[in-house]
Amino acid sequence: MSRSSVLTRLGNRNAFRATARLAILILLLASALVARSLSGLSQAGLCREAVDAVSANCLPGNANCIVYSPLVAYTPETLSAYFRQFLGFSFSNQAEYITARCERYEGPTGPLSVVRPSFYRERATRRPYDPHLERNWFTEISGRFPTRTDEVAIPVTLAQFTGLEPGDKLALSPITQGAAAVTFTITGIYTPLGYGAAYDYLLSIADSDRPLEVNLLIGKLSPRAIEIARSWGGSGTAEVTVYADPKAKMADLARTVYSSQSSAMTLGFGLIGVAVLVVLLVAMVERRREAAIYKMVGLDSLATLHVLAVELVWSLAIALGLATPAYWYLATRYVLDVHASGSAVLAPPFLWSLAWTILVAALGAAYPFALASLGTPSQLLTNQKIYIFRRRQVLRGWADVGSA
Amino acid sequence: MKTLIYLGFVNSIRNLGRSLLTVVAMAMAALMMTSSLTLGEGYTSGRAAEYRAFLGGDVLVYPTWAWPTEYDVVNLKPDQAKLRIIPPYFGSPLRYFHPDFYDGGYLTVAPEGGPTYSMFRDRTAMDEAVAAIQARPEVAAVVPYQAVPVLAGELNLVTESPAGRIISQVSMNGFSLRACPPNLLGDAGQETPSALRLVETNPNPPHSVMAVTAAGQDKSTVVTWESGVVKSGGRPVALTDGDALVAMINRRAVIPRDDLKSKSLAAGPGGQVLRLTLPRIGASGSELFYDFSNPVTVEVRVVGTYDVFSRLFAWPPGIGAMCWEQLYLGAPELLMPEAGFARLLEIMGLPPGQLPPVGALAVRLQDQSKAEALMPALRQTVPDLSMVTVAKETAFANARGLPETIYEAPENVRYARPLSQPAVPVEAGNLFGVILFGFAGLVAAGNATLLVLTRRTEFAILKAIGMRGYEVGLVVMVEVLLLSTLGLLLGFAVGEAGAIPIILTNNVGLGPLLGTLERDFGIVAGATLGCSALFSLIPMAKTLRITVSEAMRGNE
Repeated sequence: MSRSSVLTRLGNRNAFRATARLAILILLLASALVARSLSGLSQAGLCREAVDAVSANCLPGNANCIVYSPLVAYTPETLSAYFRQFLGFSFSNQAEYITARCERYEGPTGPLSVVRPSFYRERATRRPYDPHLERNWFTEISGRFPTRTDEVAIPVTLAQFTGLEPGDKLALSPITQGAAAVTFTITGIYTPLGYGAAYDYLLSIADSDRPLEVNLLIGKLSPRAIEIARSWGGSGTAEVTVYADPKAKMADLARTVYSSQSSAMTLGFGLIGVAVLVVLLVAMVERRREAAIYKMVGLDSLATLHVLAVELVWSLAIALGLATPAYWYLATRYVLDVHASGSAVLAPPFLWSLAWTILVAALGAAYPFALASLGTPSQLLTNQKIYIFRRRQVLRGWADVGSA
Repeated sequence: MKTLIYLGFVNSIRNLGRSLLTVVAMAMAALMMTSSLTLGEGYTSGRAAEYRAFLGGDVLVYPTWAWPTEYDVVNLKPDQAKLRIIPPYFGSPLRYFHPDFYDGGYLTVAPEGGPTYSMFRDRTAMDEAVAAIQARPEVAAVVPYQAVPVLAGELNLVTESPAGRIISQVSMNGFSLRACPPNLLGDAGQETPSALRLVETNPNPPHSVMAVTAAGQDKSTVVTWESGVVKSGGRPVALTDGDALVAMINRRAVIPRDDLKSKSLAAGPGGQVLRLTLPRIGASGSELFYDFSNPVTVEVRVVGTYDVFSRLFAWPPGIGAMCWEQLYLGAPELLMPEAGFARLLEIMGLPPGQLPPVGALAVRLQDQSKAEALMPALRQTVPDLSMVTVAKETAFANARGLPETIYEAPENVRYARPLSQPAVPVEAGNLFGVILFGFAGLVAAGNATLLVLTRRTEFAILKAIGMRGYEVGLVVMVEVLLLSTLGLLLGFAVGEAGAIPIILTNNVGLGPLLGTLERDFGIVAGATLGCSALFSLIPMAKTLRITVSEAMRGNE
């Protein structure tokens, strides 16, 4: 029989000799493992539920900003070239944009924009937006989409607020001082795609007799692209409204709300580490003579450590064996029922907690095991000083040298 | 019994290192618990006083989900939370502390979207919320933060130069007209705390000052002016103005900081008359809104100026010195007396008794030292709204480099966290307390067990001379309890010592103070000693198992 197997066998026997200590260690480690895993699982469930509760994007598609140039309108080709030159991408390969010609008016509820979606397409590409461009602005419409430039479809919120209906006339004053009021005929009431941002757009169509021009872009732009877009039509003249990602915002909120609980659980794990340290320290003090005998019969420090480590591994293994079904039962019966996390999220919190448990147990065991394995027989038998990293320690508990 | 207690006492002194460890662990747990109790959670009367004075209260009530809580997040229904952007004309303290609510958006669950005219649906909803908050005995007053946007108008400034007086104009577009909180009126009542009144001090202090700490200078040596809402010119508005359209304007919002000494408001006798364009207040059914297409022009007389001296930004320029820059809240606001503001709303078209444009509620508490402890109860009074103390709100904003502009401090010391939507974290104080007591109890038990193991012979001798097992156990228990009591006293004293400034500055009376102390001590002592007694059972059990023959034979 090899030396290693003899040591392992010795460790195995020792582990089950002191049943009370083994039970305490198993209880500590298993309860920590189950508690940490369950709290991690329920927290993940709560966070995921919160994030899943936000399913609608603020803007159509994955867009995160609206760029409006009140002074300068480009042809779609020029705008595409502009973006290609400054941002390194063209509309076609970025493919996440909607363009339109936008006119601003003063309306009964504040500034209103008449938007004429652009039908320009550089070439057929994979894009997240509907090829029927007006469909990128609404989910449904009662009445019809405008067919003339003096017709508009109004958002349902504006219709509810003002009582306007299809067939009504809507007179708007241009923002430019002195310009004559423009009257539009309402042809439909639409429910916007997305929410919030597009509620005040009045949808119309572009004048087919005039060259196509765009001064409004809705798309997903990087922070660098947003800064460049602000200079559309001259330095700082474009109005850029940036929208946060609702899901990212909710994930951030959920993390903030539960951050204190996570800190408390981490502190709780620290407590388990201290508990393991105390229990093993008491055990090592009780077993000084046994450790001395190991040394006297020829075991070196590593071999002694081997025996002690095997004992700890048994505690961990039994704790794992007990914690797994307990966690599975509690998680499936109580946590997953309440939070629609799905069984796919069952394993990660447990594995993560297991890694922490092993680490904490190892850290807790380091000091008492080091004392027991490094001490010589005489040091262990007669309470002499044991040196760890040249510091004097006595296997009588804490580093209270003065009491030796 | 005396002998047993004496023995326990002697034993605890014999091993000072181990005893100290137990005392420190227990003291930490007691300190943690003490500081989470009523007094320790409070604020000094001077905390965020400058902001509280400007806003008119100690606690801010915001539209829903400006500060969501755990319950908001847990009880969220699918598709309920949506991103909302507040329009720039919505007057609220949110514009100073949460500019990203106006640009980028916050998640809220308000079905009607982000607020545009008022944070309340209608007058009844506002009155109910105010009444519910005011019903709490700890609340002194609720002041609605009412503001209307200014669309156009020009303020005349005068520059004194050798060439003569030069008149220039500043656009009032983007400013707000706001009802002045009662504490900032020139004739504010005696019940208004002095820290919240208008301050008379040097209105043009240096941009920054430096104290050579190595030479014994400190902040009080070099910062010779006071902070707060400072009267910087003309006269303040007052109750005696009645419903006249008079206002005082934030000087730092209209005059660049480098021109403050050369420029001033062009004011004739009685102030400067401003012609301001304001949106009309329209109604659609019961819903009120700003009608920008049909503006109203009013004349408001500016009778004085104020500055908001908010916080001092400190940084060390090198070893042995410290610099401070006085920061100013450049809020673009004209403050009007309440009666005048009500008349202004009437001119703008608000029907009598209808909902004014409210961007927040400022709640003044009877006792600022209870602000944080009161928040859970206050939040329950208006569960649909968000609530946060001004102290916490400003701390959140200050950590993000808001709401003031920093000019003097070097770039490398202006660390600011990225903007984010705030949330009220789950209350984990009790959990921390339990964990800490568990930790302290285990340390005490472990130490006591080691004590028993290393003194087996000693305890065996005690048994040999006739002491019974439980008496030896009692000696151990006395030692554990003695050390825990020391830790309790130490932790409690340190915890309450931290609350002394809060007690002193808030003028908490001796009677209520002693009552609070007694209650706090009862809770902390119960937890500390109960935990110790429980954990001392382990070493006591060990002592009972010691037999004389085994201990003597083992020579341990």
